[in-house]
Amino acid sequence: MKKSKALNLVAASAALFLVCAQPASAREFADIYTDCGLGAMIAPNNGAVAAVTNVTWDSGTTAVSSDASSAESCKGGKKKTAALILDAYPQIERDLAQGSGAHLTALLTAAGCKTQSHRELAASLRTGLAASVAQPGYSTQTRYDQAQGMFNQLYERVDGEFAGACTGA
Amino acid sequence: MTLHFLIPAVPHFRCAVAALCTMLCVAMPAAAVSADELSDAAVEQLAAHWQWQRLLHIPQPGRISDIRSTDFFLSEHGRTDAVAELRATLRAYAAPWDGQPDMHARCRFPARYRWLSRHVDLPGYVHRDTRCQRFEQWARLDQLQSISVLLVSGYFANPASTFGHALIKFNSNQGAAAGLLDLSINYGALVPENEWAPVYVLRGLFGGYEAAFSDKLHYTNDLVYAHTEFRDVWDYELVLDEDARELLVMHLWEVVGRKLTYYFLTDNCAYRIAELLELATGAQLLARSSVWFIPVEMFHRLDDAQRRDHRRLVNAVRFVPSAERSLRHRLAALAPAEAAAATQGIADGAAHLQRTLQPLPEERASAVLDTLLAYYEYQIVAGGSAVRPAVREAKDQVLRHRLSLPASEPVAPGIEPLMSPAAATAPMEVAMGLGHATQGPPFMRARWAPVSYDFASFNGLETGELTVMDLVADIDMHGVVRLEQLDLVRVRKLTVNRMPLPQESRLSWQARIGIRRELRDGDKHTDEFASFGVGRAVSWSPSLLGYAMLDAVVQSAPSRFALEPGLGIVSRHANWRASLALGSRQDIGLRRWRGHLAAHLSHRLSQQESVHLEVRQDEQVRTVLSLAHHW
Repeated sequence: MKKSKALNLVAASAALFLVCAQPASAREFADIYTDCGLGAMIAPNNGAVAAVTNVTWDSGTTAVSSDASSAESCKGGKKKTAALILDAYPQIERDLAQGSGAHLTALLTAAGCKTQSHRELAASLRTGLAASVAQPGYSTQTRYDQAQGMFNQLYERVDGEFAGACTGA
Repeated sequence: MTLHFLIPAVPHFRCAVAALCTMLCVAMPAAAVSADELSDAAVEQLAAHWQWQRLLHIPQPGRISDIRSTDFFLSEHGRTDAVAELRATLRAYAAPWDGQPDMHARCRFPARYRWLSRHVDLPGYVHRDTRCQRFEQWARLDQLQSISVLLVSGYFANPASTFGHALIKFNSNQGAAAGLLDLSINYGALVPENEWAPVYVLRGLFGGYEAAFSDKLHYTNDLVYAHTEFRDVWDYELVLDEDARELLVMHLWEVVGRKLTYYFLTDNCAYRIAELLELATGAQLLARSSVWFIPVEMFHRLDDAQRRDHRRLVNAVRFVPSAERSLRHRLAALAPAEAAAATQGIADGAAHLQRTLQPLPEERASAVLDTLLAYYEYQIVAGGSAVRPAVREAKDQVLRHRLSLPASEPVAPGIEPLMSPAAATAPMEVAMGLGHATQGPPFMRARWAPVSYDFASFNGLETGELTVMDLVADIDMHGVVRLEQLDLVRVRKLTVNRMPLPQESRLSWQARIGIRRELRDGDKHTDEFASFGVGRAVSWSPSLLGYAMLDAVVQSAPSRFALEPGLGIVSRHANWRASLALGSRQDIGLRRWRGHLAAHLSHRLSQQESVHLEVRQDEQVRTVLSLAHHW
């Protein structure tokens, strides 16, 4: 009985660990999304005035504008890359599929990666995207989910294999 | 400092004297006078300087600032009193630095102090104060290579965007990232979501909105204009020396986020940007008054200023095609077998790509898949929330196949640059001519159209027409003026894509609201009307297109309703335009068809002048030869 209780305790702890063990980058993306008001560009705000683009009806803005008008916690680095991925996901996705493109280059630059590393990093990200796209349900994922996935894949590499070539900006 | 930096003549003598004094003062080398030594008269003189007025956004001497945000002013009377604001700015310069250096006036208003340093000895002044870290991080002056103003093409889907848009972009050396991470500065009204259209129109016209400059990484604006609204952009890289460039950047730092009042016709994006360019370059872009100031007008005035002042203001103009144009180009670049594969892939929802692409070499299969990805990106954006899940699934099928093939080397798109709208004639047209009618004496004709982009002019939209307030009046031999025609608005959108997208609608449309005067049963009648028509158009070559339309007409006379089928051909060459239109109006309830034929031949004499020959036959034949001036 004691042994089974111990086993149950271990199993329960393991389960709890698994539930709570969200990847750090996933938490980070979620925090950035919430704290920095991402998503305004692809989903309308609720009431707040946002559109400053030639009185265009259906364009919005992202709160992570620049290093000036945004709060201290929403400047540069991962916040910039998170916003770029979320806003320009279709373009980055296409650039990765082709192997190159302006939005992909912008993403790697925003992540603080040296130009010499872009080709190899892009190839690695391309492999990651292929794995994501191969998963059933990819087409029905929300933009948030897809962007989070790409963000995680990017920083797994930026903080790992490509740490020497990227600052994370 | 040379005299061409000055705003020209003011109407009243006393103002003229003041202006003369200002001219003399700024024509002399700046004498470094200490702020403490400035006399009241000297302070007032400085405050009256056009650049100080411009820095405060005072539209004319004696007026209040256009900026409504109180934190833009250091004096509580700063908005209404340029002298008080100057004094407060000088006092704030000497304020002690505390724990928040970025909040010091020298960091909040770097442009003011940059300008003041030319006229006043500011102790310890440096062009770039390292204590202003927020400004330095924002401006990135060390990486800034140039500044561009962008002309965004018109957008029919939004009336407020019909006349195009303008914004500012900083250019650093971003190479393959195409400047997407550079800052771009936009100006526009702060419009609440889901604003009711009539309210939107009225508030936009009559100053019901606040407006502001916003600073965004350029990719956000690029996504909106090029990838969502599918608008082309012309990037005008400005000629600015380092001092002018830094002054402009510093002043943008001062005004970003400040609130102004938005007026769609006048104090709009183009007007505000023109103010900024005047500050930086000294070129007069706003001196000539206008009924309105549409974005392309600013670029015409840049060109005018270059000619007038014999100086270059624009280094180069770069065409940035929209995502839609890039897609059409990709489709057109496919070989027939590749195009057939792409069409088949779209038709079957990308369900059999393996089989469809199997005959093609791997490299060409990749090109087809890249084209399909661009096609689906376009479809998904254009479809918005109404995009069917099947479209997304098809896109992802294409994506899976493309990712299974090797990456491609980047290839330059090779899209033929489109001429900037500002390189064509200006939109406002005034014309005078002589006319002859088979029934009646000769006459003179006068025409005025503040916005005229039509097939007969040399600034026509690529596949359409847009004319606002087109007024035509005839003057008989006795000097009696009669309204011949007034088109409040005339719009024509022809879908003539020579590189059509699969499953794309080919429908063309046109609309017109106005007043016409016509000969009926021996008498002249003036009728009000509104018409809307649909049809098809075809382009046989880049210079020749034709269309067939059927209009439904609501009119005041001779009957309430009418149908009006019509055919037209338009031929466009560098300095010649020709058009022929045939039509016939069936007035419902009256057993009569009223046929008409109109032929028009135009020749461009210069950037501003053109000559037109028009022959119109309905109940009579009228021929008019006129000379038009565009400005």
